[in-house]
Amino acid sequence: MNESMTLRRAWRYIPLLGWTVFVALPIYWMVITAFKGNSAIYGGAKWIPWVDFTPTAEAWHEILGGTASVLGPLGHSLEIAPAATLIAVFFGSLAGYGLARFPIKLGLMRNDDVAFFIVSQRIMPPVVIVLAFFMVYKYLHLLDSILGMIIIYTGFSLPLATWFMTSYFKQVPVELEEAAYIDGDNRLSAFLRVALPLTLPGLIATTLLTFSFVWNEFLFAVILTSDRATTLPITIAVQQGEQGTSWWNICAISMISTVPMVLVAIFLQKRLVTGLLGGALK
Amino acid sequence: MPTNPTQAEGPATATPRGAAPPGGLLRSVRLRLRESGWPFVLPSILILLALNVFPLVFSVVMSFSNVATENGLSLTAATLSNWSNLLHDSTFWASIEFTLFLVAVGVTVEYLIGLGLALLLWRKIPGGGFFRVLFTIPMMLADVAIGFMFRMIFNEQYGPLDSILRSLHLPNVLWLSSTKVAPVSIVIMDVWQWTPLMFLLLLAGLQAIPDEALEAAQIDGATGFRVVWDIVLPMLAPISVMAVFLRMLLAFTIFGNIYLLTGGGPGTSTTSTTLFAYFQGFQTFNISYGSTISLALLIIVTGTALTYLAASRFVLRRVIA
Repeated sequence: MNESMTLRRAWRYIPLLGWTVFVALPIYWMVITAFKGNSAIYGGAKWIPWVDFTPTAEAWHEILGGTASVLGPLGHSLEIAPAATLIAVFFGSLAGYGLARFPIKLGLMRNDDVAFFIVSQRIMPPVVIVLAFFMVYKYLHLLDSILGMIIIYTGFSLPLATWFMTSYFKQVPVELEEAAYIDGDNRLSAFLRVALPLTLPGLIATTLLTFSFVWNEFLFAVILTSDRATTLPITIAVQQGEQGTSWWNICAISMISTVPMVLVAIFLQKRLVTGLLGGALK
Repeated sequence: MPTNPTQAEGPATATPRGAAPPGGLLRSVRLRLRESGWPFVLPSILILLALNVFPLVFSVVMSFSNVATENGLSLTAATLSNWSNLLHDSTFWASIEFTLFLVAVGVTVEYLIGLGLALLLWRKIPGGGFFRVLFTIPMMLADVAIGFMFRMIFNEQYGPLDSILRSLHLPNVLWLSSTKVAPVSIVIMDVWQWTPLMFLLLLAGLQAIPDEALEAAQIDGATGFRVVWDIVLPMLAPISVMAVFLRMLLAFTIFGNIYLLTGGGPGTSTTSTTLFAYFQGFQTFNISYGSTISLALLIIVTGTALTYLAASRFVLRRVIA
């Protein structure tokens, strides 16, 4: 019985391994290309380091302080992404708490309508607002500024952060906040001291997801930045210069921008699921 | 009541802080919860009005104007000329056609593969955790990195795909230089990038199915395929609707990965609508026309979204009933 069960399940590995090859090939190719030199790229496909080609760390020297340094943009990304994430998640949590806990009325609109208004903002294609932002930023001298990028990313991350946090707060039992009120808390301190800590897993998932969006975003960055606020994705995009494409640099920068996200993926693997589901299965 | 220590303690700690008298305490707490939620929600509403709604309105204004950027910002009325140009612009319609192709084919393939993978990894099997993490990674990578990755993969001279085909003595494929194949290559990249989202959501949906439902089916003698078809798929319907909806919205606005993989070419065969709006706005510097294109996209996305939601509500009602 048990043996036949195992055998019956063994076929599963065939499609799973097939998909593994499909998923892993581009990633593998990116990693090895980051250690290739010119000849290893333009001499046909080279698969295995030390066998097919001699690995070199040239690209890494170049991008980490050399002629194609990405340390500046890396710094910009490290300023913009955390700031926008924190602001969006803070206001998203606040709104999510208000929507989940308290009645809201505006004319005929009730909680669900206000929640729909907020989430529906996500339907907007980013390109619709970025053209307007470009004009307004030009006028306000916010083009190519860290502040400007934090502002636009905050606005664009807010709907999803609110949506997720609303569903998390709905899962937190109200009794603990009642106890906090009895202890003399007001609504804001009950939110900060009791409700918010109780949603910590969801809060982390929302934060990481927002962070990954801002960290990887390209359209806003390519239109609104040029030098003082360029982010990592931009440095990847501009490596195709007049002398051809610096594949090794692109791959090395991609790895730098990817490693934190892979850690996020591993960490989120379980949490993300409950996070997205909390919003879906109401 | 007084035998319950926590309830007896509550009022005792609260009274010294000057809250309501013990008798009305619970009522005053309940009143707290009936206070308006506006103070919590208002900041977000204001942020969204300023950063989403206002730009949208501004975009509409620009689409009815000619925008000049030389000396600050000046708008001159253009009435309907941008919109009538748009209707006669074959590149625009080609971009809509390509975007819809990507949404329809890409999202369908992603759903089917994501569902298959989720079913395969639903029950614990050795190595399941490894597969789950690996299958999640692509959606966490930057669009631009993915675009470049696939430019290497699809490279018709030095790419790994080409070398595999050649070693199998198969003819080489013009992945990026044929107007027929390039859209398919984009779909392959999109499937690589976004099947993970479908997989994650559907796996979560599967794990939320109560065991009782499946046990009942097994007692009735249903097996394997029939259980999936009769029990599992209907129970997955709500999350499927949500997952496809999310993916659709994202697929409609595809930009960064195409920008780097094909730049919209060859010709305009892989120019998504967002890419076209970007080219018009920032390479031809016709911002008002770019706005017009982006608003047309918004109209199409909204129309599709509303139709989809209405249709899925209808289907869900029949599946669940």
